[in-house]
Amino acid sequence: MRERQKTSERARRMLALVAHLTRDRTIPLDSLATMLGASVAEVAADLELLSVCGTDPYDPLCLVPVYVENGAAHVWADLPALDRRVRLTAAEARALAAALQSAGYAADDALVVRLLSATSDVDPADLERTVRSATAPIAEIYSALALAIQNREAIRLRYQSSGRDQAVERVIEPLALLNERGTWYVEAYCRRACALRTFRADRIQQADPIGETFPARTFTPAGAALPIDGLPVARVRLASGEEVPEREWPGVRAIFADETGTLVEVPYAGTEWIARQVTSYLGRAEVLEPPEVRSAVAALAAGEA
Amino acid sequence: MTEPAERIVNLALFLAAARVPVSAERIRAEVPGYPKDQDETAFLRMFERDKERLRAAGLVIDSTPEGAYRLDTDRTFAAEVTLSPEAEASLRVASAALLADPAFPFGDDLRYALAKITSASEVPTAATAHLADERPSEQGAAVVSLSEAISARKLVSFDYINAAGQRAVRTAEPFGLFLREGRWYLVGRDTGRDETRVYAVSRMNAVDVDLSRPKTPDFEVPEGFDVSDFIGLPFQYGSKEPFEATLSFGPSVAWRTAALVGNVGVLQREDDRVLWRVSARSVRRLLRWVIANGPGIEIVAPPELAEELHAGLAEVADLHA
Repeated sequence: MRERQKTSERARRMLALVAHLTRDRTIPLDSLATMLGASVAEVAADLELLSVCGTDPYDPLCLVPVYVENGAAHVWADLPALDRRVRLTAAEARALAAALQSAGYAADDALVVRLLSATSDVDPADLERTVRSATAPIAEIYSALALAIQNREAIRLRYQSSGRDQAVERVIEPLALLNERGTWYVEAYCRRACALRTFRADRIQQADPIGETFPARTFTPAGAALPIDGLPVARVRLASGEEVPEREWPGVRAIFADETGTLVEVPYAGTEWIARQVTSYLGRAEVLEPPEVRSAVAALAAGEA
Repeated sequence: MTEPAERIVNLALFLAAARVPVSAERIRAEVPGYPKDQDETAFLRMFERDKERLRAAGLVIDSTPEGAYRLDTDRTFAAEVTLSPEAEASLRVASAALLADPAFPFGDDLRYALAKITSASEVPTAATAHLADERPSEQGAAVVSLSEAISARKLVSFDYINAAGQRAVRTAEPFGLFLREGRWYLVGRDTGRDETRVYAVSRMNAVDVDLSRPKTPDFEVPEGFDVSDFIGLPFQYGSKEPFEATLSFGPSVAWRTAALVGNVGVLQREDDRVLWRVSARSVRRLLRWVIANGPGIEIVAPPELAEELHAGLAEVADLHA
């Protein structure tokens, strides 16, 4: 049974490779391997095997015209058949729609409709009725960031931080996109702060390339959307009956509990964020320290009232 | 000796090159790899498996009333599609992140979908995803089984621990799946209770789908079913009686309305603000949501809700004075 499954997987991989073998192309094996989630050795073996596949009468002119040399696949003629891209299966279309959905593209987005109608028999609206990711509609921002990361282009953002009532402009050098529990963040070098910063994509009002590429920098991106190492910590008392909000407050730690409530330590990146979080408990959470967060909560509550 | 994968690729090339439908006998004689000394039954079993493998790769193989086979080229080959650089970059980045995330259940199929519509790229992509924060591998594996059950309309059974910690084996007709804030959820009809329920996949164990007869569905999906009807905001869950509230998004936050509310409730623009009518079940969670996502969000109705908010804020101010 396992042998049959391996055969099916290999045949599917070889058929996927065929579509990329267009005349006079040289394709690095590692890019084919990455594309197919296989090792370079597997892809090289697949290409060797493809080179003996073909059509009747199976002479050299009727075989798949590929050879492997110096870490690359070389295509020296036209394919004997199957020289067009094959449509997506229903499962592949579903996977593609799910990936686009996760990047903030709605089922009725022009790209999703055009892509799926050209490549499959699947109606994206039908797919969306059965599998759905609750992602903010950020397709335009997402695509601008993705292209800027790929091309190392600086971007001018209008960004509204948590707790702020106005968006602020800043120029960033975007380094990576990070998805945490369905929410996308961009990790970037912020020229305004002269430091690495993480920006939540659904708080970016506008993202425009400024026509400037940026050099490689020596810092290492954190690679995590919500890094908590090194952040200041607030001590907060939650009233009895309130659960410790582990998912909403990343890195929160309960340090003491009795019948009156639970004392927790909460790492926070911005005073506005922690003040707003505590205020939202409407009296069922109290900041004990530091004083500046306590004051921020008092000011926020007075201002909102 | 021809390798099995070589035989299958040869079959694909043979069918693609054939100008007229071809019989199984001719395929057996002309496609390298079918053993000449094989008995008829064994050959037909092998040939059936090979056709299924080609179909799984997207090739559409028809048979004529006379029992000959042909590749339906119209349904097999895709129309040319050119992606803009932005669209291609979006796809690559999102896919790179999702392919490395065990909570994304459609990795293999996504990989092959991309191989069919994009070119092999040497551009490195910097992206990561952690769609689920609780047992991501287990959630991803369970969603693979559940989505197969949804596609084939087969019953599923699983051990389930509910929010109260009670454990029971459930059987459900699976209708849809959604991912919300790090958790996959299954929507389906609980056959024991005869009602549609939402189950957290992270609370499931031993998910079992009987796919022994995949082409015989066990149930029909209710007409008009849409899984998004079940995706709510935190204040919409619970067992309390629902009530309706109207909130307003001021000019500073109106641009974020779609991201904040998703498909929930009814939006209406009024001058420079947006009004939102939404149903809720938890007053406390609704008020918490208003503050946590502000500033710029106000309660318009009912008035007692706005009063409760102001009283709560006064309490916060007193507590921190």
